[in-house]
Amino acid sequence: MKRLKYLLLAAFMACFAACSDDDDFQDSILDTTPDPRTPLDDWIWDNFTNDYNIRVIYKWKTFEVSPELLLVPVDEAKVIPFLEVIQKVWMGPYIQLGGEVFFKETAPKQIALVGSVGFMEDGLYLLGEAERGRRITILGLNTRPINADRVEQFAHDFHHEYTHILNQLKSYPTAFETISAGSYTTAWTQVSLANVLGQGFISNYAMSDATEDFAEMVSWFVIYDADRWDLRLQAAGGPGAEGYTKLKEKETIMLQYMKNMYNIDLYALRDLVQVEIAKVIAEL
Amino acid sequence: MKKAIIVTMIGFATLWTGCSVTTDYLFDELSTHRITQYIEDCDKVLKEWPDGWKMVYYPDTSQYGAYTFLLDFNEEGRVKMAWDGDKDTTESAYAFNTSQGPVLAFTTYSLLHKLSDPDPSVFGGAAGVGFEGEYEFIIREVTDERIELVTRQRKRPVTLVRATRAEWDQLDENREIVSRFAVDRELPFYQYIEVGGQKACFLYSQKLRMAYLAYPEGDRTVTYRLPWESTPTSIRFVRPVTLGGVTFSEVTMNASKQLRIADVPGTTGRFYRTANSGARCELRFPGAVRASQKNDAYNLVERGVALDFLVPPNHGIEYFRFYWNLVGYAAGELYIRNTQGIALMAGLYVSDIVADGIGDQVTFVRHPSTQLSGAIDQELNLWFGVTYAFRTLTGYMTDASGFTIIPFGDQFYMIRNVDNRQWALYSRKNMVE
Repeated sequence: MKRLKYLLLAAFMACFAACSDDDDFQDSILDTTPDPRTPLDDWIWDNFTNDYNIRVIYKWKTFEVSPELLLVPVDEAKVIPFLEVIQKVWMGPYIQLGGEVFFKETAPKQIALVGSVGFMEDGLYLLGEAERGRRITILGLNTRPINADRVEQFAHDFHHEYTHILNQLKSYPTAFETISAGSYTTAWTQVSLANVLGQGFISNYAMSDATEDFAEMVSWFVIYDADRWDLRLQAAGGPGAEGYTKLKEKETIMLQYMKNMYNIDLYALRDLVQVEIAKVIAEL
Repeated sequence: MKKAIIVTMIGFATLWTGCSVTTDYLFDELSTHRITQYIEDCDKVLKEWPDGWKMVYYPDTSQYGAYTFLLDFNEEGRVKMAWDGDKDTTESAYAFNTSQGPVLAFTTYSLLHKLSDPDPSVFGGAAGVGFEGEYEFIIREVTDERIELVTRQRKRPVTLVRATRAEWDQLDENREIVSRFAVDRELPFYQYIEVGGQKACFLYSQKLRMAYLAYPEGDRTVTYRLPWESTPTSIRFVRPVTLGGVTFSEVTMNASKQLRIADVPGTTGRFYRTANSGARCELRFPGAVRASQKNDAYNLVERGVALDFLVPPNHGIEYFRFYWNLVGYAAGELYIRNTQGIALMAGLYVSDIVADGIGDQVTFVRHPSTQLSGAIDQELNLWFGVTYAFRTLTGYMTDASGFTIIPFGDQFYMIRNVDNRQWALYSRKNMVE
């Protein structure tokens, strides 16, 4: 009986062997020819891809970005000016503080650039998003030319999205979510800033949910200098007020998280970002 | 045991059968090979014709006419473009993909993308959809002379035909003809066209590439909605129209504003405007108010120069939306951009509607519950409350002379009777599809 089993097994194997095709593998049936390289592609390769393995997607690819929104691709002339700002106000400070290894491990593997903002049904529009710890998409580059105000806005947008990436790689403490639990709302656009601050949110958008709250805390912390940050906290009612107290609790968790998880001193990061923003604006 | 052997034998038989491949294919090559070859052929055709290609693109004939694009494809995946919209030219990237069969995609921003741009501040159209243009096209048929495409999302037909050097050189003439019919920004209403002794109201939008022809007949209004395209010598309607017994689809006008029917030799006509900004339309449009109330929300897509105060730029207002018949009232909404780049509803105005007997003129009376909502912060709230809603908008809306409503397909013109330079064209609210 055992012998019969082996015989049957051998016969099966023979059958499968008979099915194998001896032909060599052929070239891919898909067209794998890369797009012709332009000077823009060379610049991206030299500044983002070669050293940091970051692919910058500026050419439109169907279904790659929010397929539910009607968007247009970026104007090629807007790509390098934007990336230069990002290099200085985001990439440089993080590399200087965290080191190249940290940066290569945490930097998004893809930065996608879109020309238009994403108009949404409720009258809001999408300016950026972070996905799966791997990609940051920045929208609206065609209609947001770089000027003094915009440098700060782009710096904020990118630090905000990068904070999401960091959170997607290593979660922030659940204690953060309990501070304002019950106060997050979808009607965050219809609340005055004074009211928002009074409830312990650094911005209107922070009120939309806890993950955005955390990203807004980090991004505004590094974009504002110490005085402006303190002004915001004072506008939240000052020491003893509910808004102030909650913001300080969130600040403590945020500082500890960045230090413990990534060894990033947010005070030092803020100083570097401030210097770079000032330099970029001075060079405009 | 016997049973096991029989089952095993059946298994063997099945395996042997599985190994025998005798399928006859309809095509000699795999589909992926064929699609790649098809794309290569298309690319070759596009690059080989030295004078480039012409695309007369109607993004949506229910609301817009056509823009004419000239495209010159080159070896490096680049395409140069010119169009009849303005003198701008672009050079950008194009590529093919197989996302829905063979697809030709214009992958970095170019003139063509203006029709798709969802930001109304770029080229106009409705927020979120622009002019409903697209920049990815499924390739349907390729010959040496023409390439038939359909847009990837809405499946609207577009054709590329071989361009001539003369067509590149004549784009200025296309633009000149287009501008001769154009709305006078100071006196946009009302224009008339007279052919074969019959007069019709002739509305014309250079931006939307749309003309609208209407005349009363008995107790009704005969209307033609006429998307058009430009030629170096005329504007050509997408369908023929009959006026005064003359059926035509192409009109032209010389520098002295003399109208000629281009496709009916020897036929001339008359084109004229009212003389002053206070004149009302000589034609009436029975039921226009009621017709416009079929949809309750509209986005502002175009406006006369004298209406700029409605959307003042110094407060970052992005667009204005108008509501009809919101629980029996009319209402306006403003969307603004704050420092965080967020657009949101910031003002609401409600008023009663009083329509005239014919139903194409309307006055608004301030309703006791006129109110604001959705302001961003105290400063803006103050501005909207005091300056905008209760002074500017109330004063504008409740003028005793009222407004004339002219239906325009899914859109409508709302023209202030006291000054016809103050007009707005609203398009049915149609955000992201």
